[in-house]
Amino acid sequence: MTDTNSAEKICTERLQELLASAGTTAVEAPVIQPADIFLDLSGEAMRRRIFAFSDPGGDEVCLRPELTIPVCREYIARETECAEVRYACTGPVYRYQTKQSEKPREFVQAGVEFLGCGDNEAADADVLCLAVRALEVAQVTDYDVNMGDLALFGALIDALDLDPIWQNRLKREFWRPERFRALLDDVIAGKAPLASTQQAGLLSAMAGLDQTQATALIEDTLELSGISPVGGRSVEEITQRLMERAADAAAVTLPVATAQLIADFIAIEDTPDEAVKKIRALTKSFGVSIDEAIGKMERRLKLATEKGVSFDKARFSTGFGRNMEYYTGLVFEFTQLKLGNAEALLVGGGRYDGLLEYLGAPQPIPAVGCAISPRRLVMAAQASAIGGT
Amino acid sequence: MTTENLVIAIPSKGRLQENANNFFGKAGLKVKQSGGGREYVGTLKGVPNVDIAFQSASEIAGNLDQGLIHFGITGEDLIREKIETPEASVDLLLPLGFGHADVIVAVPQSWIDVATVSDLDEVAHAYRVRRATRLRVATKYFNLTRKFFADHDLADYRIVESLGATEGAPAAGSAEVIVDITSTGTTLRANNLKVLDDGVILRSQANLVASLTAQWSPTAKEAARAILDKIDARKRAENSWLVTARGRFDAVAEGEALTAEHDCVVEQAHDGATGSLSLQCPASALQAVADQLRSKGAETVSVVKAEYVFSNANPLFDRLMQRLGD
Repeated sequence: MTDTNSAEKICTERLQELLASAGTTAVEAPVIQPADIFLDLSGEAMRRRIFAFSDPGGDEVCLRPELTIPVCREYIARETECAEVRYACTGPVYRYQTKQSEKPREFVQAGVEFLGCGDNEAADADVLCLAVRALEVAQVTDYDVNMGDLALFGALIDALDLDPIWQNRLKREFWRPERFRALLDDVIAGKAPLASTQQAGLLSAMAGLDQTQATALIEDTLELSGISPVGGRSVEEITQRLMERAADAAAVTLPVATAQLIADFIAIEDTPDEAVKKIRALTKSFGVSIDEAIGKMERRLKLATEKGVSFDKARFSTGFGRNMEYYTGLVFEFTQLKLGNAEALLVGGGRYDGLLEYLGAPQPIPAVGCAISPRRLVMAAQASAIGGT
Repeated sequence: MTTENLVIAIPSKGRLQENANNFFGKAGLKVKQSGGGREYVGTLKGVPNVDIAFQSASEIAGNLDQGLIHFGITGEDLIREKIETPEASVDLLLPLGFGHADVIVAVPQSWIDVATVSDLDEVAHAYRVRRATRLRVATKYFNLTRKFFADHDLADYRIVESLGATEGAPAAGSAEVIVDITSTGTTLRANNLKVLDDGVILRSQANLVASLTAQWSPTAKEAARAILDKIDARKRAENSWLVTARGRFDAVAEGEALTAEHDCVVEQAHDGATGSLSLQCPASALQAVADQLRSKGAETVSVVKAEYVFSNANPLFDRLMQRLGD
């Protein structure tokens, strides 16, 4: 273990030198963070993975499980002018592991966050190149790259000119791949995706009413049933959802051809160059254009190539989103599967243009970054060496 | 407590304790609380080397997980809530038929647009988009809630800890939704709440639970064998009546026929002028068996309730040993 520990330290130091030489500013962020932010962003499932507790003052806090959010909070506190910065941060992060798990509860993470940079594709390319350099520095020669670009899916849905109900539903279900696939399959198979028999009577009674009339109808219904409204949602809100469902059930369906297009689109997986060709061909055959988003993807890859980093062998998937809803554009993972699925991720990152405003920045701030695990880089370097490459 | 002894934890108060005592009592195992019922320890009359510990039901779940006790009587809800990997550390040996409680998801009755978890998912998402905060779920069942919603892909919610009167949380404005136990539903209706159609997370009842992480000494195993044997014998007896028929009839052939038709077990059969047949009979077949025997020539059919039906097999103990890897 001592060998690995010192190897990890050396690797961390080399990474820090690399990040400094790349013109980043080293920043620090508090280990203790408000738990709310992490739970709000990632949901309750996160609670099982972090060390969250009530402090003696009654505030719910946690040990930082990662660096991006703490660094973004630092930025908001420091950079009131929303300047362009290239931050690097290195330090321990904390994740709860079950008793049986061999994964560490405390480990060092290194990372960069490029915040407020105006040229998105250039910043994306810079972060991608830094990730490749990090692997070089750690002498990891053998790894896979998976990429995606969430802007493509967003652009496609926007270009399809769908009913807002379907737009929202599709954008949301994207993050739940199994359900998403099932939803599309249902539409393609001609099955009604909504089973709204429960309120069928009420829905048909609401047909043709405006919001005020419908609200009155719902109020009457509640009163007649002797139900007193409690909790959170107003009668207007309930009415609005029922009206949406009424509209949904009555008229708005997703055309089978559109569902098929979306299913084909999210199934695209190839080298970036080939993926671009397939995306173009598919959208063209359907008569929609998302050329602007495709152009950005191409420019990003071209800029990386100009810096001497080629992603010819990467896997590009249109359905890849890293399971983190805060990503908005480029997403990528560098993995070494020899380390086992749970430990395979060496470097992961992406673009998250909505996060800083969500965290309290006065305006939207373009942002892209990545997290690097020195511990896994050491493990991967050893695996590379053993693999004889 | 001697470390070699078998340690059984029983809920320390209320109906659960009463029912647990009855359960052992029915198996002929009287729980004797030391100090005239004032101490939190006791013994089991009839089986040596057993220590009884009276603990709270949720403490019992934790102690089973950590192997501090061998057996415990507690609710399945607590086992699934308090123990991170119950399948690895405990075995739910026997559901006991008391302490019934369903862990459910309930929403305000006024949410007439919400009937299923899938509705709740949509509403939770809309709530988050509209208010930039997540729907709050009041509960003390953090793990059950998380697991249930994760299984249903529902992520747009936050748990608010509730240690008492959870049903009141929506009316008090501290949460929109609750996850709680309910045995009747009356309290929910009184608080203007309704259970989602597919909102039953767990139908829980008290169980006899064995710890797989405890140290099982030979002494403890022997005590466990004796106890489970009695419990099993009693369980068999519960559904079993002892039928004895006398008269001029073909006892052996009738015994075989009744075994095939009514799931009886023949104990003795003698043909002849005064034939006799005794067999174990399930309660549901009692009348039919008595009728049939008389129609075939039996003069008297007497029936007594079996107190115990000990068997060569001890399935509960065998299962425990298998789980312990013995």
